[in-house]
Order: sequence, then C-alpha cells, then structure tokens
Amino acid sequence: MGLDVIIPSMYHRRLLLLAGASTLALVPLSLRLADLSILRSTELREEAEERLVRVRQTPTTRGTITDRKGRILAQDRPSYDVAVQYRVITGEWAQQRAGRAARRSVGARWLELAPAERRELEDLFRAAYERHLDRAWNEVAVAAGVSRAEIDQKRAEVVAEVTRRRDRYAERLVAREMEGIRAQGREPTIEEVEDARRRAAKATISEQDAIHALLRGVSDEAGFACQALEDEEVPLAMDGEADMTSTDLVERVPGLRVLDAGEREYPYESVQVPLDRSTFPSPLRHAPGETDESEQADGTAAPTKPPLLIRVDGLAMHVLGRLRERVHAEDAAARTAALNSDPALRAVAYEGAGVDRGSYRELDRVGDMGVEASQEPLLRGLRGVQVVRMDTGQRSAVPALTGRDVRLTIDALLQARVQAVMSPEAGLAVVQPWHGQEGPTQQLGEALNSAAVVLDIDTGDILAMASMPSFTHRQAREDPDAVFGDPTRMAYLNRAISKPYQPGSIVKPLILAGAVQRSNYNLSQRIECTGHLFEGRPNEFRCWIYKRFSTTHTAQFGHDLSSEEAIMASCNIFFFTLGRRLGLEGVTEVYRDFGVGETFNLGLLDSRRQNVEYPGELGAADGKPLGLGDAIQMGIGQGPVAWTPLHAADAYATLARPGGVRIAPRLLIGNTGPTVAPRREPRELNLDSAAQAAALEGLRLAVSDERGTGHHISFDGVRENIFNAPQGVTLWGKTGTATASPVYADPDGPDGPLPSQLIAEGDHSWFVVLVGRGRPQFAISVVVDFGGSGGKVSGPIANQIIHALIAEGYL
Amino acid sequence: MAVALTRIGPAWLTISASLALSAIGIYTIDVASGLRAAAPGADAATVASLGPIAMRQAIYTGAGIAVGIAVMIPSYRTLGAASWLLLLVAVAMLVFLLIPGVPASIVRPRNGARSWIDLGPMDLQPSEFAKIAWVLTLAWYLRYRANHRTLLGLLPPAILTAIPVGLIVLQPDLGTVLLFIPALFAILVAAGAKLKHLSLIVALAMLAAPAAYPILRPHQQERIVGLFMQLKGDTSADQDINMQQVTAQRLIGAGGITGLPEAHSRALLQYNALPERHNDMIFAVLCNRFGMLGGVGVLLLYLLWSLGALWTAARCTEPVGRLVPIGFVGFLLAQVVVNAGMNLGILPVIGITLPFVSHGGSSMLAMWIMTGLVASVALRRPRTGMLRKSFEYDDDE
Repeated sequence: MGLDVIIPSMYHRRLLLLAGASTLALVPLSLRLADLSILRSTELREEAEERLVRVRQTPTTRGTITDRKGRILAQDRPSYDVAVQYRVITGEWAQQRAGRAARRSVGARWLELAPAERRELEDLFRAAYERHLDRAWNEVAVAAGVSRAEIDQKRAEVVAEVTRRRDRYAERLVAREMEGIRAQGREPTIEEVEDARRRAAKATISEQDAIHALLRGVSDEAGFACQALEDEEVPLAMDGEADMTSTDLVERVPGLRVLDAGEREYPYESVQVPLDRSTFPSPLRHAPGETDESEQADGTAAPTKPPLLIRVDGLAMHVLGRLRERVHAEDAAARTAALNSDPALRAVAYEGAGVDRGSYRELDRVGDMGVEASQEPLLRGLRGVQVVRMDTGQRSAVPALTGRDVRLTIDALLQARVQAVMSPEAGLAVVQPWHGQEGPTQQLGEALNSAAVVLDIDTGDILAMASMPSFTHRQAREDPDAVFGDPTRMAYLNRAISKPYQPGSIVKPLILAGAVQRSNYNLSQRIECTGHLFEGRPNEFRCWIYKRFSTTHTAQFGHDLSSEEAIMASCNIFFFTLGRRLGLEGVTEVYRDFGVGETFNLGLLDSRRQNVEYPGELGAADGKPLGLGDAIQMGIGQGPVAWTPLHAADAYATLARPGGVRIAPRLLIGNTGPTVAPRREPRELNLDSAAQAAALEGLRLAVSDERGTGHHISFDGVRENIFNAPQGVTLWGKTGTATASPVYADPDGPDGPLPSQLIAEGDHSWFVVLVGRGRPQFAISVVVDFGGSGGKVSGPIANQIIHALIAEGYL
Repeated sequence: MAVALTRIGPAWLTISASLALSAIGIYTIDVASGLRAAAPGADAATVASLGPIAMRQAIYTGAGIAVGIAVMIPSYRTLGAASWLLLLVAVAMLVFLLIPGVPASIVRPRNGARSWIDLGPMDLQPSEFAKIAWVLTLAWYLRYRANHRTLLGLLPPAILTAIPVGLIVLQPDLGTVLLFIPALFAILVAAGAKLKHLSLIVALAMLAAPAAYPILRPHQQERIVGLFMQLKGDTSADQDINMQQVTAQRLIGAGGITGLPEAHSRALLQYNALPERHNDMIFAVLCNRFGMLGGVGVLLLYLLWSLGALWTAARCTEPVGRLVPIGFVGFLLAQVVVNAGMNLGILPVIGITLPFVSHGGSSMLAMWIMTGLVASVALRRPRTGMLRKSFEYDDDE
C-alpha cells in the first residue's frame, strides 16, 4: 500500500516530507552536541576551567653564601622593583589592545567590516583603554606612595633611554651598511643612505619588548600594595557601550610586574685590612719619613708604627662570582638539566604548583660566575604560588622556599689578608728595585698580577684563594671593559685555578718522591752537580748556579749532593738526572700522580656555565711527540708541562701527608648541588716515607739554611731572611722560576697596520710553602706573573700569608 | 474570542514553543552577561534582577507578543491581499538602507552591514520584515497557480525572491540571504512544484558551488578554510580565525549532559570571553548552562514550533493559509540549523541569530509576527468543503 493511499492528499504528503526533513535536519546537530557534551566534555570543561584560575608566583629569597666560619659573604636584601611592559609605558599598549578588543567584540564579522568601520570601532576601544591606563597609573602611584608626576617622569625617562638606545642601534645599522658599500670601493648614494635610514628606523631592539623598572627598591609595604594590583582583572569601562563592557576584561594595571629586586649584598666585598709592616722586607717596613729604628735620632723611643691599612676591594670575587639580570636560553636548559639530574630537587620544585617554581622569568637574577653560577639550582630558591579562582575568590598558596645557603671553605678574613698582602698598596706585588726585573715592560712601582692559594693539608679545604687584580661587582657593572677587556690585567681571570703556569723548580721534591717510588733513585745516592748535564755541551741542560756564577753545587758544597741538599739548593743537574732516569713515561706518571691533568670540580663556573678550572697539561703545545730531552726538562718543572697554583698547593699537601694521600681540595662544604661533580675519594700514592722525609727536609733547609734558595733576599748587598715567622712555626718551602712566553698585544687587530706590542716578558715567580707547628698543616702556593725570581718576589708574599694565618689563629 | 481561541488547535504548539523559547532566551542572555557584580549597598532583589541586556530582551519579547497578537486581528488573507504593498514597503526600506548619504544617526553600519535603521529605543532590521512580506507575497502569488509545476514556471517565484535577496546581498547580510533559499524550496514543495525540478536545481547548485568559491570575499573563504581546519583537528588557527567557534565548542562541551549551575556557568562565560555570546553564539551559552539536554530540548522546541505550524497548514484548505506557515517554518528551521551548526563547529560562522533566543528587537518582533500569522491561519480555518483544496495534484513528481 502506497503512501498516496494512506494519505490521499499530495499536499499533506508534501507536508509530511517537510516535517521529516525538518526532523532530519536536527539530527546532525544533536549528534554533534552529544559528541561535545558527552565524549569531549571532560577535556573541554578542563580547558574552560583553566581560564577561571589565575596563578601568581610570589618572590623568593636567594640563599646566602657564607665563609667557613659563618660570615655572610653574599645575601639578599629584600626589596621590590615595580616594573611595567615598555609598550604600556609608552601607551602603545592601548592601541594594540584596542585593535584586538575591537576584533573580539564582533567576532568573525570583523572580516566584513570596511576599513573606516574598523577604525571607528578601534577608536572607541582605544579611548576606553587610554582612560583605563590613566586610572592605572594613578593606582600605581597611590600603591607605591609616590606622586603621579613621579610616575610620569619615570615613564618619560624610560622612554627617553630606550629611544636613545634604539637610535644608536639604528645609527650603527646605517653605518654598517655604508661601510659595506664603501668596501665595494664606492661612496653610497643619497638614495642608498635614505633607504638605509628608512630600514633602520623600522628596526626594533629587545628593550622595546621588555619590562622596565619604573620604581626601584620600593619598600615591602609598597611592594605588597603594588602586588595586589598585579593580576587583578576588571571589566573595561566603555562609557555607555554596555554590551562591550560585559565581554572585555582587562588587567587592572596592564603589564605590571612587581619584581623581587632582592638586591644581592656582599658585606665583605670591600674591607679594610691592617697589616703589620714590621714583618715586611726592610725597604717596605716604613712609610717615607718613618724611621726603622727602635729609637729616634734624638734618642727617644720611636712610637709604635701604626698598621698599614689596606682597602681590599672585590674580596673573593673570583670565588663568589656575580649575578646578572638577563636570562639566557641556556639558563632554562641548565635548569632543566639540573632538575633532571636531581629528582629530589625536582620534586621540591614542582611541589604544590605542578610547575617548576624555580623556572626563569624575565629579569630574574641568574648566577653568572663562580659559586653564584655553580650553586644556582640551590641558591635561587623556589617562588611561592598563589592560585586564585576568579569566580569564587578561593585562594590556595604554596609558600616561597628560600634558596639553600651555601658554605664555603674560604675564611673571609684570611682571604682579605691574603688579598691585602698581594695588593699594590702593600708593595710586595709591585716591581721593586731588588727584584732586578725592570725593563721596557716593567716600570718600578708597577703592579704585578699574582695568585695565591692556602690549603688545609688535613682536610683539603681551601682557606683562601686569591687572584689579583680582583674587581668589584660595581666595576663589572659600570666599567666592564676594565674588568673583561684589559689584556694586561685580565682581572676577571682566576689565576689560582684558570691560568696555566709552568711549575719550575717547585716540582723538584715531587720528582724526588716519584723517582724513589719508582726505584729510579736511591736516597743513599749522591749526584754530582757538573754545571751542565752533558759533558762537552755547556749550553744545554745547565744548572742555574752554573749559568749565573759559572760554578757548580758540588764545588760550592765540596761534595756531591744528597737529595736534601739538591732540593735545598734547587740543583738542576740533580733533577735533570732524575728526569732522565724516570724517562718520559716515569716523569709523566709522577706529574699525573700529583694531579696534572685533573680538575678539582670546585664548583666555579664562568658565564657560559663552563668549569673555569685549568686541568693542567702534559705535552707539547704543537702536538709534537715528546722525547727524553723533554723528560729531562720536566725533571726541573720546565718543558711541556703546565699547572695552576692550586695544583701546586695540592701536590705539596699530598707530599706532606703520610703515604702521600691525595685529598681533593674543596671549596664548598656540604651538598654541592647537581651541577658540581662529587668530590673525589682520597687516594693514596704510596710514596716512600723516607723519600717524603727527605723531600720535606730539603724543603725545610731551603728556607732555613742560608744556602737554601728560599732563605734570604738581598737589599743593596745586605741579606735578609725571607721568612720571619715566630718561633715554633716550622716552614718547608721551595722557590720556582718558570719560563713564560712573552705577551704581545695587537691594538688594531691582526690585520691592522700597527705592529704588535710586547706588553709582558720574563719568568713567572713561584713559591710554595708548607707551614705548621711541628708538622705541615697548611700548604701555601704563590705565583707572580712575570715576577722573575721566586725567592725575591713570591717569597715575601708567602711570608706575609704565613703571618696572616697566624693573625687569624690558624698557627 | 474564547471560542475563537479554541479554534487555534495545533497552533498552540507554536505559540507555546514561542513563549518557552522567548523565556529561555531572556534567561540565557542574562547568563551570557557573565558574573553579576553587586554594587555596594545593592539589595538581594537588585542582584537577583535581570541585567540590562536581558531586561531589554524582555521588553522586546513583550513587544513581540503584543505585535503577534495584533497581527492575529486582521485576517491573514487581508494581509495576503496587501502583501504586494507590504513587500513594496519592505523593499523600500531595504533600498533606503543602501542610499548613500543617509546620516549615520539613521543608518549606522554595524558589523560591516547597512542592515539597521535607528529608531531610538531600538534598531529596526528591515530584512526581518522583508522575510514576512516575501512569504505573504509568494503565497499570495502562488495561491491559484499551477505553472510552478513547470521548470519555467519556477522562474517568477525565483524573480520574486531575487528582489529582496539582491537588496540584502548589497547590505551585505549573507546569512539572511541564505535563509530565503530553504524557505523558497519549502513553499514550492508544499505548493506542489515537481520534486524532480527542484532536485535538478539543487543538483546544479551543488555542482556549481565549488565554482563559487573563488568569487567569495576573502573573509568568507577564510571561514570555510577555518572550518575545514577544525574538522581536521588543526589547532593552529584556534586563537585566530577559529577563536569564536573553538570557544563556543569549549563552552558547549563544558556544559556536559545536564549543564552547569548558574554561577559556575556565568563565571565560565565571563572568563572564556566568547564573542557575540548574547547574539550569534547564544546557543553555546544555552548548552553551557543547561547541557546537552538543554540544547536538544531547545531544538525540540523549534521542532514543536515547526510541527505546530505544519499541522496548522495541514488543517487549512485555503491556499495562502496553506503556504504562509510553511515559509515561516523554512525560515525558522534554516536559521536554527545554521546558527546551531556554527556554534557546534559543523558550519562556518555567518551572522545568523537563534530565533527567539538571541538578543535583538527586530528578530524577536519578526518571530512573534510569524507566530501570530500562524495563529491567524489557525483561527480563520475555512470550513471543510467551502473551498476546493489547493495544491492537490494527481502526480506527485
């Protein structure tokens, strides 16, 4: 039976068709609705709910760095900067937001609008946003407790500064383009100049996208008041356009960021150190006009000399490092790597918020060098999190976690004394007449670059690590060229661990111990100093005494040299002989045993987050294979070998420990965080105890026997002991003079017409001392760049470091 | 009058659906306004009262009901007799919109279209009334004809349609234009046009559709591209051209099956910042508040409205009364499908409101006039046998 039978009316059949079509038309809508509302509901609701939640992170405090005695070397001083997006400061934001809001207000219909209609709509919104911004500035002024005029003035200053930088950048772009044209051998045309200027005018600089501090260092109260404005959103008042008001929310103060300025303070960065000049070399004991007698010329008692007050700037700067206020992409990568390598740290960082509370944000402070850089994951702390549910006002919070404190092995006051001793004002690390080093590159009174390390032999703790010249945070900030760009001073360089030096004669006791351990030498043997090692070749492998005085130690002593005498007199022939006996393999092994080729993982990084430590090196710079001649040279610390003052102090500390135990030097006490490799376990070298005793005896004689190379220096023919430690303090020491390559500077670069200039030449001056009461307790190594004789230049500095240890109660 | 009202019969379905949809619209518009901030010192009654936009909609609804009742008073046949005049007035208003130099205080382009005449308290959208006038005119034209059962005979109705459509295209208001096509087809189907002719036209139109793509304006092409991106799961335009639809779908999904409590829904709507949520995207608001069940319920109300109108037409033997409700059903359902489809992300965004529910005076008045005319047809149903039945043909092709 057909439909026409059931429904005879065609019209009614057509209506039925239309009713069916109407019903069918709603089916796909219902299916799609079911898809969204049932199958995807959870996912879509989560997305929608996310927009109800505002997460604000609250500042944390960076951890403190203390010295071994708990003195605070670096700490945060809580304060806040009130910063705002540059485009908000300029007002450009209102225009940008107006455009977006205008689009949103009409949704997809925007595309249908004529240009004039779009402009009209944008103008409507722009006026509203500008009124909003004006009110916002007033609110900031009230919250921060300053006048609106002050806010406006700061805004103008920021705009002027950014504009100036942008203009300079544009000028450079134009100049560079013009240079390019001139490099083609022609002058730029007016059109080219104009074209370049037009392009440059469109260039932007990063500051135009950054936030800028309008108010710096505001109080807690003002900071909190401004924070309250930070994330709040309010409806945009459209003045009569009620339909739009209801849809557009706007930050109460657009682009506002209250930054934890957390100014980093370094309380010991500049300290004044009193030095007792009575223990100085006699030419330096008194200031001009002072007498050096116990009585004055009229017979009255001379007044007690006031101590020499030395101002030390940049205390332990190379160790502490510094912070920068620009976050680099590498910082985020390093942070991720640190968290991945330390699950515990990661767990804490993500606790409560589900995001890394220590992640980097614009204008965050970042450790840039030294311990501030290596301990960044521990020091930086974790921001607090405040979660606000916008509809209910419900809040939850995870409090900020202050960064962990970092404790150094450094003794700040000892460090201060060491730096004071090495400062130009003390007179020990400047070119002096008795150095005999005056020349075209060294004028009298000129400061010498130097480094020193003081190591606790029992623990391996580095009590002081100085590299001169140092620098202050302010200098690095305000005059970076002087710190980082001066090729002569290289103040940024930590010479104690980063600069390679040939060891020179200070290695002789180590070579002795190594040769005995390898049965290349028997302590009962005596070796003749023949002036030069090979018969008939008087110009090769000479002893220093032969070179300078055309004699031999055997002639001086009247007999062949024992090992103790050889160290005392620093006889080259003796140690050439040991080098030859050890051979290349043996001598290399000895150096490796004593740490050449290793870094100590102290936790000092450079601004690229690389370990700044120089590991030491064995081998020719040009990569040529080494031969026996090299082994002989290495027997006296010359030839293809280089290390650092820390290697020297560590090697001597090893020599002083029974059995020759190597305890890795350390700079950080406790947990060193994920970026610093764990400290190496102590390792025994199994040195021959008799050889160690002989080496130490040689060292003792070197500084206590008048034939020792470290015993005295002469001023105008008058001898004076280098060391004047009080009774009961025993010294074991060795001088060293290391060959150094001359340094040239090319002021206009390698391709410029000006010739290279010689800026430094001569030998580096070494002195390494073990000191203690009854036994070696501390190892001190000193090197002075291009200082020449170890005894004359580094010796008096080592002596003053011993007095510093006494003054600080270590001896 | 009471006796007369009993004659309305199935038109009660249409009237009831109109009332329900209008009430839902007022409430949903209020919810779309987002969080209700209480002014300091405001009492609970003030806080609980309607917001300004919903209040305006309530007034429009009241006006719409009054106008709907008013159009019930004269016979629809009287209006049909005056339909040419009504269409002329509507066309005149459409022409007026396009006259250059008319002050912006009278014709202010909105959303890029010259579609509204500013009447002070409310804006009048002549195209809404042109739809009604066109349905009356077409029904009046077809009332005693049979030539539309030939292919050439379809030309006059097409020309009659092209006049208002052409003027609306010039505004431009593509959305309204598109509604005329299903309404025309619905009327022609009911009027007995041969289905094979209509199918041929549809097939030709579908074949020609891809060729029309290049002549679309760039923003129209963008919307089509955006829709395909959504369907393919490409989210790269979610913050740009697809933002409006993606946000709408997010809010629809968030409503789940049964919807969200009012305060929660208001908060989500405010902080998800759905553009045009009082107007074109009101269906998303509705589904967020009342869930899938609410959405389907509203669709069923439209179906109820349509069935009421179709039933009314079915009970009528007079030709104009047989066609007028069909034209309105065509308009209403097409509008619902397009609006809900763009909210649900299965059709591109075009400026189409949801009848009775979206905010807007002209739309509300037009819908209530349609409702009133359907009721008028029901009231004036000729007695069986008095007239020969219209649009009854032997062959059903």
